[in-house]
Amino acid sequence: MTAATVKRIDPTQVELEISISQEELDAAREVAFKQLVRNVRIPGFRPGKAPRKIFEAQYGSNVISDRAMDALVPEAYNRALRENDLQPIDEPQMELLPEEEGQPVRLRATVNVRPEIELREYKGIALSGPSTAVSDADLNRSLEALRHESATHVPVDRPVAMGDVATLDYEGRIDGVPFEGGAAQGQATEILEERFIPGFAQGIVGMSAGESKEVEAVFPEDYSKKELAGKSAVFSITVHDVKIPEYPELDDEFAKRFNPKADMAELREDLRKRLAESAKTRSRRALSGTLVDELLARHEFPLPALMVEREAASLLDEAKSYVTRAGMTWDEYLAQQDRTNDAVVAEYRVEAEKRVKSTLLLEAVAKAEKIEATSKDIEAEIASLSRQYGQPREAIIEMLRPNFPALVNGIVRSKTVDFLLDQAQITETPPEVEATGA
Amino acid sequence: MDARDIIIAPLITEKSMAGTVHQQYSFEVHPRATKTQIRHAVEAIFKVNVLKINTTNVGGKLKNFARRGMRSSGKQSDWKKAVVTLKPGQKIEIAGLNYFEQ
Repeated sequence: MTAATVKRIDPTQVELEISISQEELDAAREVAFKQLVRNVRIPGFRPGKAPRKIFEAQYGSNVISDRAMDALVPEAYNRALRENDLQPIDEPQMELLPEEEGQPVRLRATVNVRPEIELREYKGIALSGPSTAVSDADLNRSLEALRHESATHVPVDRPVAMGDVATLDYEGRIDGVPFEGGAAQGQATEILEERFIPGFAQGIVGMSAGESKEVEAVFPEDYSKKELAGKSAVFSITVHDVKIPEYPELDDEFAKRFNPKADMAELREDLRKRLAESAKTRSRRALSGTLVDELLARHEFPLPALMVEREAASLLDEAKSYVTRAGMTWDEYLAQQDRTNDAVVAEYRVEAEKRVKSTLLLEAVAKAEKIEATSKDIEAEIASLSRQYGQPREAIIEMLRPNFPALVNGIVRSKTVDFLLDQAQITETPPEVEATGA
Repeated sequence: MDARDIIIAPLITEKSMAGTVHQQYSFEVHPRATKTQIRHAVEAIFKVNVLKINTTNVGGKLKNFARRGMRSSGKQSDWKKAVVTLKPGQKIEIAGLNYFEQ
């Protein structure tokens, strides 16, 4: 049997000394010979039928030994990893130790591994977050929004007032020249000051149906279209009709619009439930960051330099490609941010360390709690991705294939965070008192 | 004839290997060598005792060659095969290597 001794030369690096017994070596050589002889033509023998001695006399015994070692070394290495519960993060450096007479073949493998993590208390982490309770004010606000959405417009015979819905034609000119986006025909709009550029809404107020008028309005200095900002424009406006929005009463009749079988109480209840749901999701999302931070603060362990290096490099690559897509060179970006390349690299390093640490930590927790991605979880994730991208399930699977372990890791990670959140002691801070008109 | 002119080469094939189990070793020998000559030659070279010898003349195959419109045919040399049975327990090694055993 193979035996391996483990020596930690660094918290994240181990040296494995693996010895391979003679019996094992012989067995592997026999297998190797059988494979090799199959493809060899020796006069007097059918392919694959030549005896080992004849084969060795022709091709040398090294060929067989090499082939045997090629098969044996990875096998012995993997077994040593499994027996010692090591998780490598890169390929090992293998070295054959000098042979000694009568001793089994020994090899030394040096490899970077994940550090051993001593888990501290990770259950019942105290967190505080905003209250997820749905207050009456919240409920009323969303009812009000619903009511606004289902407003009907009733024509009135009076001049336009703020808050009315008017059907307008307008055409704007700057210095007598029409400009892009400055004209519309038969548009029904709610006349509210904040919806238009200053002066526009006020100009309309007081016009009656059928009336035409010239209104002057000024684009604000910080207008999103630079070529218009700060300019003053003259709009010729025709008002076709004036309506006032009429809001439905919040009664059972209103409830029936959304669910024919419900009354107002049920609608409220339903809405409350939905609000609670989304408040909870929001709070969990907010808390998970704090939770991981807290977890990181509780644990201290050496990080494998290699993993950090890789993560930092990938962060930097991502940032660079983002900058390139935005149409800037990296140097221009640095100049714009007024930072040196070194400063940015250092910053990414810190971020990378945090990421690596949280990854390792969450993995350790997942392992300790035996959290795994079941095929059901994977299926659900694929289904959700398929909805998100609007692609059939098969296409998603095809897309994920090269990255399948990453998908599984992601699922395990989010399950672990969920688990920790379930275990955490969450204290809700009382909701801030908001002055809202119901 | 010298012993080494009589025994030309060991015959190492799947079939000849099968005979080694019964102490039978095959050689290619001089086409005109007699069993007695072969016996003496084998005993002299390999220092073994020969119990029995079977010989057979093997006819060379006719071979045809065709290349660039030229067509010719030829014949491989005839040769003689000798299967030598040794005294039980004895064996033959060549250059320190026992070719004849699996």
